Amino acid sequence: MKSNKFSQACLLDVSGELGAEARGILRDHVETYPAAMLEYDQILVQFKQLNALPPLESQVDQVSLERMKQQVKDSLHEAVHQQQKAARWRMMRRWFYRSMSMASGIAAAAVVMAGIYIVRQHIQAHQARVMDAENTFQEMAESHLPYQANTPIRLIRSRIEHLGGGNLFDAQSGAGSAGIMQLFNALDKIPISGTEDGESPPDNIQ
Amino acid sequence: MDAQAVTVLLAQCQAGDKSAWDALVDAYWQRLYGFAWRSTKNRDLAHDLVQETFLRVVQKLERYDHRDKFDAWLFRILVNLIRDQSRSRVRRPVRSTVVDSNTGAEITDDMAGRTGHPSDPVHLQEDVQRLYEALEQLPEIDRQVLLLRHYGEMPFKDIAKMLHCPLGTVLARAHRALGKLRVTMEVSHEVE
Repeated sequence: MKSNKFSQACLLDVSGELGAEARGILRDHVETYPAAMLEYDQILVQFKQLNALPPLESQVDQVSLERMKQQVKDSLHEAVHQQQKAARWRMMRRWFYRSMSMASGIAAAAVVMAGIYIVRQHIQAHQARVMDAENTFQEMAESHLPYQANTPIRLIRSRIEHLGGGNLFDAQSGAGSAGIMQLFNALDKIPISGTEDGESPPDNIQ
Repeated sequence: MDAQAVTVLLAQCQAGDKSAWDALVDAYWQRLYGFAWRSTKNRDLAHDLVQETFLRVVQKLERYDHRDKFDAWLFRILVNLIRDQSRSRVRRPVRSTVVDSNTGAEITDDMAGRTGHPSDPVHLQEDVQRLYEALEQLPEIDRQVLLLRHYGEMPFKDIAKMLHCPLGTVLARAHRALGKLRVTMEVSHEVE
Protein backbone atom coordinates (compact mmCIF):
# COMPACT_ATOMS: atom_id res chain seq x y z
CA MET A 1 0.00 0.00 0.00
CA LYS A 2 1.41 3.41 -0.97
CA SER A 3 2.13 5.81 1.86
CA ASN A 4 -0.22 8.59 0.75
CA LYS A 5 -3.03 6.13 0.00
CA PHE A 6 -2.47 4.55 3.38
CA SER A 7 -2.66 7.85 5.25
CA GLN A 8 -5.80 8.79 3.34
CA ALA A 9 -7.37 5.46 4.18
CA CYS A 10 -6.43 5.97 7.85
CA LEU A 11 -7.99 9.43 7.78
CA LEU A 12 -11.20 8.05 6.28
CA ASP A 13 -11.22 5.29 8.88
CA VAL A 14 -10.76 7.55 11.90
CA SER A 15 -13.38 9.84 10.38
CA GLY A 16 -15.78 6.88 10.20
CA GLU A 17 -16.22 7.08 6.45
CA LEU A 18 -14.49 3.91 5.34
CA GLY A 19 -16.57 1.00 4.08
CA ALA A 20 -16.57 -2.33 5.92
CA GLU A 21 -14.51 -4.18 3.32
CA ALA A 22 -11.84 -1.48 3.02
CA ARG A 23 -11.76 -1.22 6.78
CA GLY A 24 -11.01 -4.93 7.09
CA ILE A 25 -8.13 -4.65 4.63
CA LEU A 26 -6.76 -1.63 6.48
CA ARG A 27 -6.96 -3.41 9.84
CA ASP A 28 -5.06 -6.38 8.43
CA HIS A 29 -2.39 -4.08 7.03
CA VAL A 30 -2.04 -2.14 10.29
CA GLU A 31 -1.81 -5.31 12.36
CA THR A 32 0.80 -6.77 10.01
CA TYR A 33 3.17 -3.78 9.83
CA PRO A 34 4.25 -1.97 13.04
CA ALA A 35 5.18 1.18 11.10
CA ALA A 36 1.69 1.26 9.68
CA MET A 37 0.28 0.88 13.18
CA LEU A 38 2.40 3.82 14.32
CA GLU A 39 1.21 6.05 11.49
CA TYR A 40 -2.40 5.02 12.07
CA ASP A 41 -2.16 5.97 15.73
CA GLN A 42 -0.57 9.28 14.82
CA ILE A 43 -3.41 10.15 12.45
CA LEU A 44 -5.95 9.07 15.03
CA VAL A 45 -4.41 11.41 17.62
CA GLN A 46 -4.33 14.29 15.14
CA PHE A 47 -7.94 13.76 14.23
CA LYS A 48 -9.02 13.52 17.87
CA GLN A 49 -7.18 16.75 18.45
CA LEU A 50 -9.46 18.39 15.93
CA ASN A 51 -12.44 16.93 17.71
CA ALA A 52 -11.19 18.70 20.83
CA LEU A 53 -12.43 21.95 19.33
CA PRO A 54 -15.38 22.87 21.52
CA PRO A 55 -18.85 22.73 20.03
CA LEU A 56 -20.73 25.92 19.35
CA GLU A 57 -23.08 25.49 22.30
CA SER A 58 -20.20 25.69 24.75
CA GLN A 59 -18.94 28.94 23.26
CA VAL A 60 -22.13 30.92 22.84
CA ASP A 61 -24.95 31.09 25.35
CA GLN A 62 -28.15 29.36 24.36
CA VAL A 63 -30.19 32.56 24.48
CA SER A 64 -27.95 34.23 21.93
CA LEU A 65 -28.03 31.16 19.73
CA GLU A 66 -31.82 31.03 19.81
CA ARG A 67 -32.09 34.76 19.17
CA MET A 68 -29.81 34.56 16.13
CA LYS A 69 -31.64 31.52 14.84
CA GLN A 70 -34.96 33.30 15.25
CA GLN A 71 -33.61 36.30 13.34
CA VAL A 72 -32.70 33.99 10.48
CA LYS A 73 -36.17 32.44 10.56
CA ASP A 74 -37.84 35.86 10.56
CA SER A 75 -35.81 37.04 7.60
CA LEU A 76 -36.59 33.77 5.81
CA HIS A 77 -40.32 34.19 6.43
CA GLU A 78 -40.13 37.69 5.01
CA ALA A 79 -38.18 36.48 1.99
CA VAL A 80 -40.64 33.63 1.39
CA HIS A 81 -43.53 36.08 1.73
CA GLN A 82 -41.92 38.44 -0.78
CA GLN A 83 -41.25 35.55 -3.13
CA GLN A 84 -44.87 34.35 -2.92
CA LYS A 85 -46.06 37.90 -3.51
CA ALA A 86 -43.80 38.21 -6.53
CA ALA A 87 -45.02 34.85 -7.82
CA ARG A 88 -48.66 35.92 -7.42
CA TRP A 89 -47.92 39.17 -9.20
CA ARG A 90 -46.19 37.29 -12.03
CA MET A 91 -49.17 34.94 -12.30
CA MET A 92 -51.63 37.83 -12.37
CA ARG A 93 -49.58 39.62 -14.98
CA ARG A 94 -49.39 36.46 -17.08
CA TRP A 95 -53.15 35.96 -16.72
CA PHE A 96 -53.76 39.60 -17.67
CA TYR A 97 -51.54 39.31 -20.76
CA ARG A 98 -53.24 36.08 -21.76
CA SER A 99 -56.69 37.62 -21.32
CA MET A 100 -55.63 40.69 -23.21
CA SER A 101 -54.19 38.66 -26.05
CA MET A 102 -57.35 36.53 -26.15
CA ALA A 103 -59.55 39.64 -26.16
CA SER A 104 -57.34 41.19 -28.81
CA GLY A 105 -57.68 38.06 -30.91
CA ILE A 106 -61.44 38.06 -30.55
CA ALA A 107 -61.60 41.78 -31.35
CA ALA A 108 -59.34 41.31 -34.37
CA ALA A 109 -61.51 38.44 -35.57
CA ALA A 110 -64.64 40.57 -35.09
CA VAL A 111 -63.08 43.43 -37.04
CA VAL A 112 -62.12 41.06 -39.84
CA MET A 113 -65.61 39.55 -39.89
CA ALA A 114 -67.20 43.00 -39.90
CA GLY A 115 -64.85 44.06 -42.68
CA ILE A 116 -65.75 41.02 -44.72
CA TYR A 117 -69.44 41.67 -44.13
CA ILE A 118 -69.14 45.31 -45.14
CA VAL A 119 -67.17 44.45 -48.26
CA ARG A 120 -69.69 41.79 -49.19
CA GLN A 121 -72.52 44.23 -48.65
CA HIS A 122 -70.71 46.77 -50.79
CA ILE A 123 -70.10 44.22 -53.55
CA GLN A 124 -73.72 43.09 -53.44
CA ALA A 125 -74.92 46.69 -53.58
CA HIS A 126 -72.58 47.37 -56.47
CA GLN A 127 -73.77 44.27 -58.30
CA ALA A 128 -77.36 45.31 -57.68
CA ARG A 129 -76.65 48.76 -59.06
CA VAL A 130 -74.97 47.25 -62.11
CA MET A 131 -77.92 44.94 -62.58
CA ASP A 132 -80.30 47.86 -62.24
CA ALA A 133 -78.30 49.87 -64.72
CA GLU A 134 -78.22 46.96 -67.14
CA ASN A 135 -81.94 46.50 -66.79
CA THR A 136 -82.50 50.20 -67.26
CA PHE A 137 -80.33 50.19 -70.36
CA GLN A 138 -82.12 47.14 -71.59
CA GLU A 139 -85.47 48.72 -71.01
CA MET A 140 -84.36 51.99 -72.52
CA ALA A 141 -82.84 50.24 -75.46
CA GLU A 142 -85.94 48.17 -75.96
CA SER A 143 -88.18 51.19 -75.58
CA HIS A 144 -86.23 53.22 -78.18
CA LEU A 145 -85.65 50.66 -80.91
CA PRO A 146 -86.42 51.93 -84.45
CA TYR A 147 -89.02 49.27 -85.19
CA GLN A 148 -91.15 50.27 -82.26
CA ALA A 149 -94.34 52.06 -83.06
CA ASN A 150 -93.86 55.13 -81.01
CA THR A 151 -90.38 56.11 -82.19
CA PRO A 152 -90.10 59.17 -84.43
CA ILE A 153 -88.32 57.19 -87.13
CA ARG A 154 -91.05 54.61 -87.13
CA LEU A 155 -93.65 57.30 -87.26
CA ILE A 156 -92.00 58.96 -90.26
CA ARG A 157 -91.54 55.61 -91.91
CA SER A 158 -95.12 54.62 -91.35
CA ARG A 159 -96.27 57.94 -92.67
CA ILE A 160 -94.11 57.56 -95.72
CA GLU A 161 -95.45 54.06 -96.22
CA HIS A 162 -98.84 55.40 -95.66
CA LEU A 163 -98.13 58.05 -98.26
CA GLY A 164 -96.83 55.48 -100.72
CA GLY A 165 -99.85 53.25 -100.17
CA GLY A 166 -102.04 55.08 -102.75
CA ASN A 167 -104.02 57.10 -100.36
CA LEU A 168 -102.46 60.38 -101.40
CA PHE A 169 -105.63 61.72 -102.79
CA ASP A 170 -107.88 60.29 -100.27
CA ALA A 171 -110.71 62.71 -99.66
CA GLN A 172 -110.79 61.94 -95.96
CA SER A 173 -107.23 63.15 -95.54
CA GLY A 174 -107.60 66.43 -97.17
CA ALA A 175 -105.13 68.28 -95.01
CA GLY A 176 -102.42 65.67 -95.67
CA SER A 177 -103.18 65.64 -99.39
CA ALA A 178 -102.86 69.35 -99.55
CA GLY A 179 -99.47 69.07 -97.90
CA ILE A 180 -98.33 66.37 -100.25
CA MET A 181 -99.57 68.37 -103.22
CA GLN A 182 -97.53 71.29 -102.03
CA LEU A 183 -94.54 69.02 -101.72
CA PHE A 184 -94.98 67.72 -105.26
CA ASN A 185 -95.35 71.21 -106.62
CA ALA A 186 -92.24 72.27 -104.93
CA LEU A 187 -90.41 69.28 -106.33
CA ASP A 188 -91.62 70.10 -109.80
CA LYS A 189 -90.16 73.55 -109.55
CA ILE A 190 -86.70 72.24 -108.79
CA PRO A 191 -84.66 72.23 -111.98
CA ILE A 192 -83.22 68.85 -112.82
CA SER A 193 -79.77 69.36 -114.37
CA GLY A 194 -79.73 66.45 -116.81
CA THR A 195 -83.33 66.81 -118.10
CA GLU A 196 -83.14 70.37 -119.48
CA ASP A 197 -79.98 69.54 -121.40
CA GLY A 198 -81.67 66.51 -122.92
CA GLU A 199 -79.81 64.10 -120.69
CA SER A 200 -81.37 61.51 -118.46
CA PRO A 201 -81.38 62.19 -114.70
CA PRO A 202 -78.80 60.43 -112.56
CA ASP A 203 -79.74 57.02 -111.17
CA ASN A 204 -79.48 58.01 -107.64
CA ILE A 205 -82.27 60.62 -108.03
CA GLN A 206 -84.62 58.03 -109.35
CA MET B 1 -31.34 14.16 8.66
CA ASP B 2 -31.46 11.51 5.94
CA ALA B 3 -31.80 12.26 2.24
CA GLN B 4 -35.45 11.22 2.09
CA ALA B 5 -36.42 13.55 4.95
CA VAL B 6 -34.45 16.39 3.37
CA THR B 7 -36.25 15.85 0.05
CA VAL B 8 -39.65 15.96 1.76
CA LEU B 9 -38.66 19.05 3.71
CA LEU B 10 -37.43 20.83 0.60
CA ALA B 11 -40.65 19.99 -1.24
CA GLN B 12 -42.61 21.57 1.62
CA CYS B 13 -40.33 24.60 1.52
CA GLN B 14 -40.93 24.97 -2.20
CA ALA B 15 -44.66 24.87 -1.53
CA GLY B 16 -44.17 27.90 0.73
CA ASP B 17 -44.64 26.14 4.07
CA LYS B 18 -43.04 28.44 6.64
CA SER B 19 -42.82 25.75 9.30
CA ALA B 20 -40.76 23.68 6.86
CA TRP B 21 -38.36 26.60 6.47
CA ASP B 22 -38.12 26.80 10.26
CA ALA B 23 -37.31 23.08 10.38
CA LEU B 24 -34.62 23.61 7.75
CA VAL B 25 -33.06 26.39 9.80
CA ASP B 26 -33.22 24.24 12.94
CA ALA B 27 -31.51 21.38 11.12
CA TYR B 28 -28.64 23.32 9.55
CA TRP B 29 -28.20 26.69 11.23
CA GLN B 30 -25.84 25.56 13.96
CA ARG B 31 -23.46 23.74 11.66
CA LEU B 32 -23.39 26.64 9.22
CA TYR B 33 -22.91 29.18 11.96
CA GLY B 34 -20.12 27.23 13.65
CA PHE B 35 -18.27 26.93 10.39
CA ALA B 36 -18.86 30.57 9.43
CA TRP B 37 -17.82 31.85 12.82
CA ARG B 38 -14.55 29.93 12.84
CA SER B 39 -13.90 30.86 9.22
CA THR B 40 -14.51 34.59 9.63
CA LYS B 41 -13.55 34.88 13.29
CA ASN B 42 -16.46 37.27 13.70
CA ARG B 43 -19.81 36.41 15.22
CA ASP B 44 -21.85 39.16 13.61
CA LEU B 45 -20.39 38.57 10.22
CA ALA B 46 -20.93 34.84 10.58
CA HIS B 47 -24.55 35.45 11.52
CA ASP B 48 -25.06 37.72 8.50
CA LEU B 49 -23.42 35.23 6.15
CA VAL B 50 -25.52 32.32 7.43
CA GLN B 51 -28.65 34.43 7.07
CA GLU B 52 -27.61 35.33 3.55
CA THR B 53 -27.00 31.65 2.83
CA PHE B 54 -30.58 30.80 3.76
CA LEU B 55 -31.89 33.71 1.72
CA ARG B 56 -29.95 32.39 -1.28
CA VAL B 57 -31.56 29.02 -0.69
CA VAL B 58 -34.99 30.69 -0.86
CA GLN B 59 -34.02 32.28 -4.16
CA LYS B 60 -32.32 29.26 -5.69
CA LEU B 61 -34.25 26.31 -4.33
CA GLU B 62 -36.13 25.88 -7.62
CA ARG B 63 -32.79 25.40 -9.37
CA TYR B 64 -31.41 22.96 -6.79
CA ASP B 65 -30.46 19.65 -8.35
CA HIS B 66 -31.80 16.97 -6.00
CA ARG B 67 -29.10 14.53 -7.12
CA ASP B 68 -26.60 16.64 -5.14
CA LYS B 69 -26.43 16.38 -1.40
CA PHE B 70 -28.25 19.29 0.16
CA ASP B 71 -25.59 19.75 2.87
CA ALA B 72 -22.90 20.10 0.26
CA TRP B 73 -24.98 22.59 -1.73
CA LEU B 74 -25.74 24.63 1.38
CA PHE B 75 -22.12 24.75 2.50
CA ARG B 76 -20.98 25.58 -1.02
CA ILE B 77 -23.17 28.69 -0.93
CA LEU B 78 -21.75 29.65 2.46
CA VAL B 79 -18.15 28.99 1.42
CA ASN B 80 -18.64 31.16 -1.67
CA LEU B 81 -20.12 33.94 0.44
CA ILE B 82 -17.22 33.75 2.89
CA ARG B 83 -14.75 33.83 0.01
CA ASP B 84 -16.46 36.84 -1.57
CA GLN B 85 -16.60 38.57 1.76
CA SER B 86 -12.93 37.95 2.50
CA ARG B 87 -12.01 39.34 -0.91
CA SER B 88 -13.93 42.53 -0.24
CA ARG B 89 -12.49 42.64 3.27
CA VAL B 90 -8.99 42.64 1.82
CA ARG B 91 -9.93 45.63 -0.30
CA ARG B 92 -11.84 47.50 2.41
CA PRO B 93 -11.50 46.53 6.09
CA VAL B 94 -14.87 46.69 7.81
CA ARG B 95 -15.67 47.31 11.44
CA SER B 96 -18.57 45.60 13.08
CA THR B 97 -20.41 46.32 16.28
CA VAL B 98 -21.66 43.67 18.63
CA VAL B 99 -23.92 44.01 21.62
CA ASP B 100 -22.69 42.08 24.62
CA SER B 101 -25.50 39.75 25.67
CA ASN B 102 -24.55 40.08 29.32
CA THR B 103 -23.86 43.79 29.74
CA GLY B 104 -25.72 45.17 26.73
CA ALA B 105 -22.67 47.27 25.89
CA GLU B 106 -21.62 47.77 22.28
CA ILE B 107 -18.30 46.21 21.41
CA THR B 108 -16.59 47.03 18.15
CA ASP B 109 -13.88 44.93 16.60
CA ASP B 110 -11.92 44.90 13.42
CA MET B 111 -13.11 42.09 11.24
CA ALA B 112 -9.70 41.55 9.68
CA GLY B 113 -7.47 39.20 11.56
CA ARG B 114 -8.70 39.45 15.15
CA THR B 115 -8.72 36.11 16.93
CA GLY B 116 -11.74 35.10 18.91
CA HIS B 117 -14.40 37.49 20.03
CA PRO B 118 -14.17 39.72 23.06
CA SER B 119 -17.75 39.03 24.03
CA ASP B 120 -17.46 35.25 24.14
CA PRO B 121 -19.33 34.27 27.28
CA VAL B 122 -17.31 31.14 27.89
CA HIS B 123 -13.57 31.52 28.33
CA LEU B 124 -11.80 29.00 26.21
CA GLN B 125 -9.26 26.75 27.77
CA GLU B 126 -5.67 27.46 26.90
CA ASP B 127 -5.25 24.36 24.76
CA VAL B 128 -8.32 25.15 22.78
CA GLN B 129 -7.15 28.72 22.33
CA ARG B 130 -3.83 27.44 21.08
CA LEU B 131 -5.65 25.12 18.73
CA TYR B 132 -7.58 28.03 17.29
CA GLU B 133 -4.39 29.97 16.84
CA ALA B 134 -2.82 26.99 15.14
CA LEU B 135 -5.84 26.72 12.88
CA GLU B 136 -5.48 30.35 11.88
CA GLN B 137 -1.91 29.75 10.84
CA LEU B 138 -3.02 27.16 8.30
CA PRO B 139 -3.49 28.06 4.64
CA GLU B 140 -7.13 29.02 4.06
CA ILE B 141 -7.97 26.05 1.89
CA ASP B 142 -6.55 23.58 4.42
CA ARG B 143 -8.33 25.29 7.31
CA GLN B 144 -11.55 25.24 5.32
CA VAL B 145 -11.38 21.47 4.94
CA LEU B 146 -10.88 20.96 8.66
CA LEU B 147 -13.64 23.40 9.63
CA LEU B 148 -16.06 21.86 7.17
CA ARG B 149 -15.28 18.46 8.61
CA HIS B 150 -15.56 19.54 12.22
CA TYR B 151 -18.18 22.32 12.40
CA GLY B 152 -19.94 21.51 9.15
CA GLU B 153 -20.02 17.82 10.15
CA MET B 154 -19.49 16.95 6.53
CA PRO B 155 -17.84 13.72 5.37
CA PHE B 156 -14.66 14.19 3.34
CA LYS B 157 -16.48 12.80 0.30
CA ASP B 158 -19.04 15.62 0.46
CA ILE B 159 -16.34 18.20 1.08
CA ALA B 160 -14.61 16.99 -2.08
CA LYS B 161 -17.86 17.35 -4.03
CA MET B 162 -18.46 20.75 -2.56
CA LEU B 163 -15.02 22.05 -3.36
CA HIS B 164 -15.07 20.41 -6.83
CA CYS B 165 -11.87 18.48 -6.26
CA PRO B 166 -10.96 14.78 -5.96
CA LEU B 167 -11.39 13.01 -2.64
CA GLY B 168 -7.67 12.25 -2.58
CA THR B 169 -6.86 15.96 -2.75
CA VAL B 170 -9.18 16.76 0.14
CA LEU B 171 -7.75 13.92 2.22
CA ALA B 172 -4.21 15.03 1.44
CA ARG B 173 -5.07 18.59 2.50
CA ALA B 174 -6.70 17.35 5.69
CA HIS B 175 -3.73 15.12 6.48
CA ARG B 176 -1.29 17.95 5.85
CA ALA B 177 -3.36 20.40 7.90
CA LEU B 178 -3.70 17.96 10.82
CA GLY B 179 0.05 17.37 10.74
CA LYS B 180 0.72 21.12 10.82
CA LEU B 181 -1.74 21.56 13.68
CA ARG B 182 0.06 18.87 15.62
CA VAL B 183 3.44 20.46 15.02
CA THR B 184 2.19 23.94 15.93
CA MET B 185 0.63 22.66 19.14
CA GLU B 186 3.82 20.79 20.13
CA VAL B 187 5.96 23.84 19.43
CA SER B 188 3.71 26.08 21.51
CA HIS B 189 3.86 23.57 24.38
CA GLU B 190 7.68 23.50 24.17
CA VAL B 191 7.83 27.32 24.20
CA GLU B 192 5.83 27.38 27.41
